[in-house]
Amino acid sequence: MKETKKIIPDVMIPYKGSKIEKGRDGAEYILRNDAMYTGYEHSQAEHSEFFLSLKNNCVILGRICPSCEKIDVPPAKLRCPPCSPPVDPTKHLQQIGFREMVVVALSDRGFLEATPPVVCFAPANFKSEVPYANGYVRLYTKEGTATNGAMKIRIRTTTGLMRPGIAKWKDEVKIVFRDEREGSICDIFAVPASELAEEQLQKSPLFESDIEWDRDMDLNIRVDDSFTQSGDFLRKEWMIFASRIERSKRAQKDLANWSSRILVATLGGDFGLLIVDGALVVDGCDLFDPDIILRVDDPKTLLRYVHDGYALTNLFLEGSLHLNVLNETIFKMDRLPRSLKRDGV
Amino acid sequence: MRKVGIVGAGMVECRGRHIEKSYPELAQLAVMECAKDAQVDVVREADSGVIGIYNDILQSQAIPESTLQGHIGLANKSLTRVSSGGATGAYAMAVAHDRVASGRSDICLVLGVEKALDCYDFEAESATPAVVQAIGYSWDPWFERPLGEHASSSYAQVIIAYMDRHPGDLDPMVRARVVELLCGHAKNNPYAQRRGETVTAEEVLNSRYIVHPVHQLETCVYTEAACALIFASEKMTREIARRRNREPMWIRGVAEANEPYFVGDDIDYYKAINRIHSDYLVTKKALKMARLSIDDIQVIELHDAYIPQMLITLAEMGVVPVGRANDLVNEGIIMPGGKLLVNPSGGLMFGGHFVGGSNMMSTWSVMRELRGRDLQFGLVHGTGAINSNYGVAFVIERGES
Repeated sequence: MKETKKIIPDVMIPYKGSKIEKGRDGAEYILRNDAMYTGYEHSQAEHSEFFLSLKNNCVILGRICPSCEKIDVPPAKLRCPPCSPPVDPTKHLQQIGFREMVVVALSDRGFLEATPPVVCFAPANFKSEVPYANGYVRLYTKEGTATNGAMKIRIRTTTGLMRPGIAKWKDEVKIVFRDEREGSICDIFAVPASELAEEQLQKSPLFESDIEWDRDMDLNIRVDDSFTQSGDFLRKEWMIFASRIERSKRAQKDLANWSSRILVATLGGDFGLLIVDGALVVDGCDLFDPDIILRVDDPKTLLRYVHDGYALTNLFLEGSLHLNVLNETIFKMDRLPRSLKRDGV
Repeated sequence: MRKVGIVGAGMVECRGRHIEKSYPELAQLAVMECAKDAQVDVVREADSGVIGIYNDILQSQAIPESTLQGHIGLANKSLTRVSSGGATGAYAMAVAHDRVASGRSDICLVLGVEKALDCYDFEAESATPAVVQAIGYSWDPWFERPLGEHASSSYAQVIIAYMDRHPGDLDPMVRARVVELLCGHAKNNPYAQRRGETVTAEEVLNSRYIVHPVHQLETCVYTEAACALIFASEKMTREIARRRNREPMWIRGVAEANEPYFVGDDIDYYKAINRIHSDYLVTKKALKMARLSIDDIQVIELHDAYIPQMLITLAEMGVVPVGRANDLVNEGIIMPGGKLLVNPSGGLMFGGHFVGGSNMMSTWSVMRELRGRDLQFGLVHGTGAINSNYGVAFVIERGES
């Protein structure tokens, strides 16, 4: 039986119910669970040609204006507003502006119009995809000229999780097609050309399964005796950090109703962190089945977080911290240093 | 076109959440405050209204303005709702200006209100992802929304594209010092959401990236609040000024411009992703209408959705050349004692960003500063929508004109 995926995941659907919270005036107020939702059979209308071409033919279509020769991609409009069609002497009233554009098949190569930002904190429906980057790509025509319009598209890396510096302004990219396509902009994504072999660059269409992914995602680490002392120091500093949370209402609120099992892996040894019931507990023993792995070579790297409040997210983006996943747990932990400071702890 | 004055302003305290108040209640409180400030009987004297409400999803109601008609004293009168992205408040003001300038209205109530934090992500046990998602529904559903685009990613795209072309500008420490500056300004704003907070430059730099290269502590906050203003014809402005025994405020210039949604290489045809061209256009047009230059402006309340965007906007306005935004801080231009007072309310960053009315709060602040500091000319700015494409600017003058 074919697996089906729901548009609205079950976990996002609230149960009927309500709770009571006190306002600043001390009175009680009701917060009633609710949702606004509407199902759609959303017509892709005039864009169907573009999306069907992605789905069935693995060809990216643009539109060119026969007058000004500007090439739009995505081909979001059918007519070019400033340009007029040729005069038709048989008609009393001439069309002014809005010349019909012509469909043109484009290459699967292009370049970035700007460095793409890396999204760490996403809308609710995209939380599971962070860190991700969408960038504006100008594609080439079959003749090698660049389109005028730039298409927003997901940028992926073969090396693991997306980080700043992987894709930059002017970088050449290759469009890759997903193996399973549904006729949407998500059927394609771009990969920096520098990460692909020449035969992959030459292959059209190039499919997701043609690429080896997550090449640098090895989170295993061995203990190096020269780091043991700093590893022990780091664990003790985390214990002090955890004890500060016990004295901070803001920090406890940051972790409220949340649980997580975190393995901290360093060359100075491993230890576990448990988030449970608004508290952080440092576990000196091996942690089984962690949902997050924080891996650093030098244990001192993580002192920047526990001492200086430097965000874990930033350590990850800068490449000094390796994660198996960037998720809400990390974001909640990144709130803790400021909460501790605001509570004077 | 008739002259238009601003005769009153009323604010409700900005908060991260008003669980005690619905948006109709917030709206009514703001109108009450405004009526008191102007000494205008809204029910009997106002002949129309314009309301800025950004996003139906945030209010949990489609056509939310319909609920307000009776609450705000405009029963059986014209009330136009405006929704123009982040610039909703400023656009609502522009519509009200035109209504009075055209002669169709003598006293027009302008109101902006927004709830936000009733949205809730039941998976993350947090409101913010749901608020971000509600805003994310602003993207086109064919090409960009399916990719997870949202406000922070689109502003960050403009910021990083600017940084591509101007390496070294928008220095992180410069940006962090601007946060410190606005944090200090907010202490003088009795309605500011974050007026009790202290944020240091070091904390800004340590705070996590929400979208690289933008730190959490250089982004505006989500806010629930309301602000009301009253726009009036020249005759009514002078009459109300006498009634109130204070100098009138005049709208000397107003301009709006929206850039195209899709990005490309021709600024007349596409959005230029490294620019906020709309800010350049509206500032130029509004100043031309007022027959002034940017050097005549003494106070600016600008729409600081993100600190790096605020610096780009000041460059687009002509305060410094594009590519030299660091000078705003390093040369002391916007720092204490500098030649230009910017966001004395704390801006949207510390004052609060209740989208439908934030630019009205900015107007309230400019009028307060013009009076309080004995200044003559101020500028109010709004931006918003995808890639900061929408722009609005007002030039305001204190006193006779």
